[in-house]
Amino acid sequence: MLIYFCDQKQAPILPRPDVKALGINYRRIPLLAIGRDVYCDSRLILRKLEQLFPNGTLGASTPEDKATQKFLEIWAVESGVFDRASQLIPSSMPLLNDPRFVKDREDLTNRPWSKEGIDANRPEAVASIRSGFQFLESTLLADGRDWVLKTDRPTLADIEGKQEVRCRLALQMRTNASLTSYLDI
Amino acid sequence: MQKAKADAPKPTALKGDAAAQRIFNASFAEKDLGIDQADPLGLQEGALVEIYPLDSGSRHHDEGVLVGLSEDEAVLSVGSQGKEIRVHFPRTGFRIKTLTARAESKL
Repeated sequence: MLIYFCDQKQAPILPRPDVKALGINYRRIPLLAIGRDVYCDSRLILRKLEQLFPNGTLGASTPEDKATQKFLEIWAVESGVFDRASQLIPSSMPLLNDPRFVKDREDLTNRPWSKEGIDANRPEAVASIRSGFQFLESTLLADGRDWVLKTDRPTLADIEGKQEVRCRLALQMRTNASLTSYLDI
Repeated sequence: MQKAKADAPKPTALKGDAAAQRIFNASFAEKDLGIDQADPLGLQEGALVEIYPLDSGSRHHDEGVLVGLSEDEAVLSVGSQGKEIRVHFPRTGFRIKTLTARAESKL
């Protein structure tokens, strides 16, 4: 099923006047609008797309697979894996020289984004992500399957399980390359 | 994956206030969700509340009239430029506070 839609790109940091124009203070993106209903948070957005467009669902169908899908969502976001992944950014990233970006991310995360702070925090974040990779590779992905639920194409469970693993990290995971080599790039 | 991506419709890019105007002039996509009477906060339809995420971006609070509440989501009616939109938030991982209660606690 094809869903036709429009998008409006948003600035990487605040202000975002397009969001403000809607009277919304919530600062995270993306937002989804269907008619005059606006949805915040990717988890809710995915659930709504599944619910409102039932002919094109990506979600699991058996109770066991639905549970895996939901557990992955909770694991990725509420257990803090997503947060840990975001703490892996290299302190050499040029954006960190822009005080507006630093201030914006401090507002978003409620933690300091100084280069020293990022470097000091990195070992904990790496340990956490390594443990997460080890968990996936020794359980769901241990048999070399392409997708989490052993399907022939990606499903919602893959999105839930890997949304914290940015594209390059996901590639590294699938080729079993060392995480450290990615982090040194 | 590449084929799926190639076959997918390309989104039309909107600029300026185009998205807001389209949203304001659209009809509501969803029916009333109703208020879950078993929700532990005991809120009623029409309550003035604020809601914000607890994990990140938690300094940014939205205020509005509660029009929907379930185990899965909270829906606020929010006014902007004389128009009403409904903003949906996940029920969990977000804090909902009644604004009158907040005013009283300051006394």
